[in-house]
Amino acid sequence: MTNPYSSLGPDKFWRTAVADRHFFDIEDIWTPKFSLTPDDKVITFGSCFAQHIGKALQANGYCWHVTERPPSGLPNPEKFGYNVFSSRTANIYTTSLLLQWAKWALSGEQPPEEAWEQSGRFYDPFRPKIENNGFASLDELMKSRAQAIRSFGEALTSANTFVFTLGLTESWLNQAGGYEYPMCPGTAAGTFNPSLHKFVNQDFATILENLRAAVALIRAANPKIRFIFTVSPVPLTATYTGRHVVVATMESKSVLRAVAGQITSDDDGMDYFPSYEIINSPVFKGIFFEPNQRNVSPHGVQFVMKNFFQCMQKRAGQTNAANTASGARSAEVCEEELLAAFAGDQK
Amino acid sequence: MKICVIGNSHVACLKQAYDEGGYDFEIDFFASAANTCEHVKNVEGNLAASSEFTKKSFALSSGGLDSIRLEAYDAIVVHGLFPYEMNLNNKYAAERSPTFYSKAVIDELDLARKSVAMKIASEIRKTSKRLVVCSARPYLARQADSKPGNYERRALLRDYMLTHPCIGLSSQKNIAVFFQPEETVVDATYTDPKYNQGAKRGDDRYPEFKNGDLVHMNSDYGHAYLRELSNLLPGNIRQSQAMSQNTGCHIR
Repeated sequence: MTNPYSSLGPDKFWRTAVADRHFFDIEDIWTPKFSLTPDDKVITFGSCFAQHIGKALQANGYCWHVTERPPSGLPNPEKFGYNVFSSRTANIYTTSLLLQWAKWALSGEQPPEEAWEQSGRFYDPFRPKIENNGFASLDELMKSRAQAIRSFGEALTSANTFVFTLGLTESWLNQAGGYEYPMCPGTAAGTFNPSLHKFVNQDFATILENLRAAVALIRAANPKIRFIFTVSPVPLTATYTGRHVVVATMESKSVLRAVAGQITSDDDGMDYFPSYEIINSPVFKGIFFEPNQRNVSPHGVQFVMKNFFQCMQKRAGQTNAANTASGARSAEVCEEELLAAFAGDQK
Repeated sequence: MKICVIGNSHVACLKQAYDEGGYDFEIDFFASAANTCEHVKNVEGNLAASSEFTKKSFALSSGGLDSIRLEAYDAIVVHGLFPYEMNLNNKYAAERSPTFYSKAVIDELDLARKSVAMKIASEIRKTSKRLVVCSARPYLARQADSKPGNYERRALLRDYMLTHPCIGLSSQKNIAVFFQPEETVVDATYTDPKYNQGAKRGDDRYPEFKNGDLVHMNSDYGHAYLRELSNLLPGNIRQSQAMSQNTGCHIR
């Protein structure tokens, strides 16, 4: 007597896929919907964890498509936000921020004129740490922002694969202007104004709607582009929801994971890569985290990317998975970690 | 006329040439390896080494002096610790790129401003207005398979170096950029290999650099350098001072 399960492969059963194996031998955790070749132009944006993907793509012979490059000879370009994402947007933590950037780049929508001045230096509210010491003038800030928007638009229109890492549900809005900041004003720079700045913990429907709107906008400009979504496995640095940070993290990641699953479920041009599960599943016993149980270790990043390339190469018909190189050793640029600096203020 | 030469291993060929004679000015040499000359501080008008290594190197190379009394000299030469003009190519290109780069990013490419030579010049300027001459190490000796450089590009970057970085230095005044003597240059950005043969280190024994060193030059190069330098020294520089009084820079 047969049943629907009897024809399934070993990767569909816990015992054969997990229990009978050492967790380092778990494989085929992802079946890509489409293949990636070295000729494909891949752009990467999103939350902190996305930073590793671009460098790993490059290190493994794929084309990480960077449209805002540092000048030749710049030492440590990451210090200035170059070679972190495909253009100098800094972290795009939420789907609403992605939509905001996409509108600026593709719809001709003008970004707000807001800038933050501190001690004679000027900080971009939408990339507050892109220049650690701020810009020399307001004019310089605006030119730099305009360059980042142009380069972001070029990335969206010239790539054929977009890897986006969903990072946060918690967001800070300017109520009067109706726009979103990547960081709460007053943390990385700027001044917090309780009558102007509003906290919003975005729900499933909002996040999905914004992501769908961003995808539609990007596809309208570049019909051939494909999407690979990931969810950042990195827990929240801090939460403003009032809940314990562990509980808030679990809720936030669950919502983002569900959105990624929902949007990719019936679209062949969109896929989900399970970096979140590889790092966070109990199967892996948390070994890929640093001792603070938040930062992902270089070994963890390398393990994630090894799985990415192995699965991709199998999809492309190559059996000999490469020794995966990753950019995991490079320092992650995570403005959100700045929030940790405020932990000591709590009594 | 007494001058002081501060620098690294590239001072060796100047010392050799000076020891061979023919100069009507007196030189004290203060040399320390690689970039270790950056460990100097102006202490009440004396440029004093702030690390033991540099202090010992200064004493060894100067014949016992472990600090530099600035007012004892008519000019101070800082050699081998300044970029040559081609090193400003990235900054020049970034400023003219269609991509916008911030001032902070461009400043990172300003190897003149960030050089050890300028750090030393800044220390000197805390108490002294004496002429400071900054020069780069020589271009690499040309090899048979060296790809020729570009004279036009070098000339363009030379002009650029003389105008732009000097604007930033104008508050310090009386700083000269000294370029490699033209007679030693071949193919725009190489040193004629005849100046590389038999290059020696600058200590008392003058042991030769290991074979294949394309970086260090011999006493013939030192003579060419000192001949050119003499034209820049006080008494010989009135014309160039008059030409450059707006920027505070002298030009060779």
